[in-house]
Amino acid sequence: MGDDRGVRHPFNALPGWRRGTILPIVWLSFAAGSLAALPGATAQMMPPSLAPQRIAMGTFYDGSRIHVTGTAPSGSGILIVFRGSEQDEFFDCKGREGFIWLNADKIHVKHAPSLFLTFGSGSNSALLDPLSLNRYVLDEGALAARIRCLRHCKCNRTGNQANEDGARDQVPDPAYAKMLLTSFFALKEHEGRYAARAGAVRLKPENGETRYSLQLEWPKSALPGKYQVEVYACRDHGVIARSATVLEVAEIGFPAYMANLSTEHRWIYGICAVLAAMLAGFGIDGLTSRFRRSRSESGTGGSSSPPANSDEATEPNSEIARLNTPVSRR
Amino acid sequence: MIRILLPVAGIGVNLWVVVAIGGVIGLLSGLLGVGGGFLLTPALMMIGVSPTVAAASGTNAIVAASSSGVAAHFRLHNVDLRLGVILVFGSLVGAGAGVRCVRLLREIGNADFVITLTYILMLGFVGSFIVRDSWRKLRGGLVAGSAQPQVRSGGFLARWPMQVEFPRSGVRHSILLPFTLCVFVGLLTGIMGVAGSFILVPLMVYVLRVPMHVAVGTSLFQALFACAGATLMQAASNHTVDLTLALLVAAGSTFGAQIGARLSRLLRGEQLMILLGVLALGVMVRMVISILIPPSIRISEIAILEFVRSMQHAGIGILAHAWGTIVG
Repeated sequence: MGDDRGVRHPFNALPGWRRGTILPIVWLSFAAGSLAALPGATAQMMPPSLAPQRIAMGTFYDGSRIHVTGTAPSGSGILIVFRGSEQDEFFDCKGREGFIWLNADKIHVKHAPSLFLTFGSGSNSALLDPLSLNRYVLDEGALAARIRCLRHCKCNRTGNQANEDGARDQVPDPAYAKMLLTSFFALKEHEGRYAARAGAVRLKPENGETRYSLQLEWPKSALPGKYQVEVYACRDHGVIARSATVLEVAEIGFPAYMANLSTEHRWIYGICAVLAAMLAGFGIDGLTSRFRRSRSESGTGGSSSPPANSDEATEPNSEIARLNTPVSRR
Repeated sequence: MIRILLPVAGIGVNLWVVVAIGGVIGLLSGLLGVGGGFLLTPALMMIGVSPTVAAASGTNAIVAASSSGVAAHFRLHNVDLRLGVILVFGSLVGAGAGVRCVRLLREIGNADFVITLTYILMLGFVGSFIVRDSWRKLRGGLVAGSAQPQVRSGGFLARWPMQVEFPRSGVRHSILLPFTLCVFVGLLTGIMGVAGSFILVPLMVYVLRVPMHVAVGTSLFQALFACAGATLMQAASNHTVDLTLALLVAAGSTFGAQIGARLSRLLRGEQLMILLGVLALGVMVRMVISILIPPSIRISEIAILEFVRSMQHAGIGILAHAWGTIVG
């Protein structure tokens, strides 16, 4: 090993602040060059702007309209995706036994986004080739490849967390898996949580770039949470640039307080729910009882003749007894 | 139109639609004394509430409706407390036993097929029996066959151990008999997920010989405790109880019950029994259609099993608490 104490590297000769500036520049250039060299690599573009950036769900929440705008490289088509977080879901599956349809299986679906909406300036297949659609998971076909279905599930569901037994969970055969996925997508589309709209994104040339805009009604079935909003600029059936931002959907005020109580203080919430329901039931019964008694005493009970049974006259639900009393007792 | 956000369900719904759904359920409850859970959960699912939240919140709403009904029936001396307590324990243990039996039968195979057909046949038999019996009484006037059920102590049932007098109902039975009936109903509800009042009330009337009005009052008493336990367990284990939704449904059902009760003044007891029988037959027809026609979407979110499971947990919880109180 040679002694190099006398040799001074030119980089080390630089002052410390300049070394600190040059290093990140070198690394960034290297990273950018590497990305550009990769086949199908995409550039970043300005994140889309959302109006509103956050959906606040108050007591009288009546849906929300979202406006997505931004700029993309000139001449590009645009695909905008709203994606919810991946979660585990559990389903009953009907099967045919003899001549009747029954719940014959328990299904555990993994890696399914809670929401998946795509909006394009054209159809997905017109904008992108299958390779790109699969790579960025941008259509149902790509989602189907990512989602995993297990049958004979014995999971215990606690909220969204699965405590898996897993002993009998089985990977279904391809035909059964295809049927499950078809049913899953049909169910999600029926719920309004999965959708694909072609031609919803409007494009306009502006200052040598393409300006895109999208207006959508936020699905009322979408639950509170954080949603990824991804924008893909497409050209020649490939992605040339992309960007993303986050849309937050949150409950505020009384709904937020109740939702928090139901998850953070579950026993207290449960006891309150039972007591409130009982109080409502007994309270309304007491009120109607008092109301009818006062009507009866003031002689405006709507009956021209006094009731034969004084007990019935004062009871609000005496009709219930009457309807259930055998004919011989009347 | 006023939309309101359901905090736990996480969706906005039309307030008046929810109240109207409660009103229809209450109308049936006031008119015929049925809980209405068989209609409530599907109706809530139709407005976008998830099955788990719909089932749990519907249970909570039934707590309110049954509280009101129990209060009224209690003042009218229509609640047999002794029988009610046995039914409460029987239904909780019965639901648990039902789930375990179903699990065992599933291991053997074809359990769902057998139990579903049994349930449909039961509904058909009970519904047609009620209709036929009530029609016969209606046609035959007030004399024949309409006497108040008397204490029947002869026969096979009289030889069962632990015979107890039920003065309010005017019958004497082994406490094992109502208990067994509850296990039987629990077994059926274990698969089908409906409360089973269509079966339990006629069983109380025709097997236990409990007068109809006492059967309805006592059934409501049992439903109150069973649904309160289920609500508590659903809230604690799954946090799927939406109190806002439950109270809106309860508000509607209370008004509906008042209208139903007033409508019932226009009808005779037998006519109402015929309506109950027709309703049971209607539920049977709906079930037959649902199992014969291939579903357009073959998967559905799991809701029913958890309800039954929570009933089972509630049963264990209440029994454990009672045991702790006795020992302590």
